[in-house]
Amino acid sequence: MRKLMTVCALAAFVAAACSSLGASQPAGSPGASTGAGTSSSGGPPVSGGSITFADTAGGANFQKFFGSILPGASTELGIEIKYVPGAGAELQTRLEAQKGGDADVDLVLLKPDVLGNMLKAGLAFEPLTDHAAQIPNLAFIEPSDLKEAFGLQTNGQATPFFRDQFGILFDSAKIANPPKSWQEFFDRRAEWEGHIGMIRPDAKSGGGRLMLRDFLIGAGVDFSKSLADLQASAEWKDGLEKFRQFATAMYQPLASEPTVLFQQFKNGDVWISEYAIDFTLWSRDQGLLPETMKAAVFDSGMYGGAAFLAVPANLPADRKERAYRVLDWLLSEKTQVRMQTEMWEYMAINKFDAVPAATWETIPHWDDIKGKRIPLTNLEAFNWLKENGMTYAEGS
Amino acid sequence: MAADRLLHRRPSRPGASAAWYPGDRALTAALLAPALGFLVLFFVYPILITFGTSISSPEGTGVTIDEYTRILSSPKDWGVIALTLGLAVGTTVLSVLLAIPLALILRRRIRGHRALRLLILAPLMILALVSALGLLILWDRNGWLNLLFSRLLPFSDGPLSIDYTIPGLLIFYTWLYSPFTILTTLSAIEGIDPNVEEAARVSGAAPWRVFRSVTLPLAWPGIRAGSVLTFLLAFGAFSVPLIAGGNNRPLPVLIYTEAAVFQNFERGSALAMVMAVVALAAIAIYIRFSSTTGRGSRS
Repeated sequence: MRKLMTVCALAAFVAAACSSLGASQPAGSPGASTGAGTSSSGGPPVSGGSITFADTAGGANFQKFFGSILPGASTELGIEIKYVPGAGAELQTRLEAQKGGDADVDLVLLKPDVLGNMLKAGLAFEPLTDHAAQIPNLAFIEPSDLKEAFGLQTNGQATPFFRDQFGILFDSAKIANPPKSWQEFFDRRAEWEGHIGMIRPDAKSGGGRLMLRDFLIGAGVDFSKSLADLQASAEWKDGLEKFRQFATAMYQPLASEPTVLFQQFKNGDVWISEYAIDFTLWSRDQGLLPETMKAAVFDSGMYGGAAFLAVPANLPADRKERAYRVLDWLLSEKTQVRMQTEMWEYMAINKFDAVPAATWETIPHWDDIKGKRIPLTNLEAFNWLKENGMTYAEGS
Repeated sequence: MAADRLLHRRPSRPGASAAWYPGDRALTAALLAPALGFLVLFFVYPILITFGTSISSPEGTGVTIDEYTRILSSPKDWGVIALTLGLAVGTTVLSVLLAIPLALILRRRIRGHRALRLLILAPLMILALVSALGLLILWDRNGWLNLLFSRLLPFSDGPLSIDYTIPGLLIFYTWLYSPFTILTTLSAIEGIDPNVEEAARVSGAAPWRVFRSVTLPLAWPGIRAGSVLTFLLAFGAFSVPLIAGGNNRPLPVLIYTEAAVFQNFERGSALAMVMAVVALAAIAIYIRFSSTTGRGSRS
């Protein structure tokens, strides 16, 4: 009996440790990594055939999200949906190998860089705009978003599914009056001395270097210039020096990964930072950050990204038909509202009035940020910040 | 049967080598082949690839030792090597100091010893990454372990600085990797015939003398085996220093950053080779030193 009790106590201890510390997984923003694995929608038996939905844009939180919504889609549409999360490069290799025959995936979810690589590699996707009758919800997507994405001419071959956004994340219980610009943040840094958080610029997550980039943009650095021109410019040098001063007010040591930053928020060590709104608020909802976390976006702009849905062109007609139906379901109001309220991703469809008003008390409204989204450009300069950013962020 | 002969062969007299039968060599080779093949495929080959990458020029056109020169002439890199070695040695010493008294207590089958034995295994049941996050929470300025210790320790006048510090890493490493030393030490100490220690006591040896001259030398092979494992695991620790190390980033974290973040595979590979050489050298010195210690104690 004593043995049994000991084993039970130990099992409870291990389970408690795992459950209290787990669930800290990345999302679909660049600060996140992509999970891998295969799962089925798990819904009831369906008769309308099946499709394979490959997700290379979402992290583990998306696996959880899709795991919860796809069974409903299967039931509603009568289509079995096999959900396969994985990496973009792997999917591209597979699709390239299948160019001569039928693709083994019917619907793909891609980040802009992966979509760009695929299009450059000559992979063809079905022009969705030619099938507006089968995808009625496409009518709620901005027409410009169907033609071009992040400088990429998509010409209807892909539609946005969600839009992720970086923002100033702050604990509203500790900061009632958050800054409205980088300059104000810089000027008021003494107010939050030792409580400004940041992920290391040399971390696997890109969150820290994006914060540094956005700070520099706020300081007047023009990232359309080449790295050589930037390094020769006074704005670049002044901006980096200003950041060095700013970093003296940061909580040190900087977080090595997003989960550590979250922990620092949870412990009350960090009150304010810039990072991905989606993953941070999703993690807040999992209990990993204070419930009082909120987000804001500065006028100078902050990183904004998106994920796109596309249907490979090399599919038989019946499979394409099923893919369009599932795609339409994913763009439906009820799914997109859940994307906004549960995943904290901005909806792809222009139906923001359908979102509960309370949502906008936590994050800025789309109308207030849509002109302030800065995509990831100038990789040369961005990589320089990755390799040298710690020199300026160490706070000494 | 050749296998029978190989397995049961005994020298005919002390010091004499056994006679080889025809076919023994073939059988020996056949028995060794899977292990050797495994070793070549999963150990030698990757090391050769790593070494090859470490001496290839970034353009991939020639051979260079630039990365090694840079590492060996960089005080920062020497600091990282020293930190890695220091953490591994410190963890090993702390683990041995923890393992011996614990094993001496547990072999007495005290009340609750089974639960204690199971608890020793707890760190091995939880993913290191999860453990690291958990330890960060427990030892944070507001963490309950920190609060408890800061009240218990007489010299403390507030929360202890544990998270993101070297002492913190030593605590975390010891918690995670000491079970290997504890288990082998426990097994070695429990394997000692109590009559041997009893004989020493009857002969008038004081408890400390019995421990130093009888128990410790007899348990030493077990302690040494476990501590080598602990040393190697601590030397290669990645998740814990990545999450809980702050600016204290030992070699595995540096290698990961160079290779996975900066995509600088040449430097990452050179650092990995340096790490392997340092680990091998440290283990060789330790084994040599500890063998002498064991013999010295016995004499």
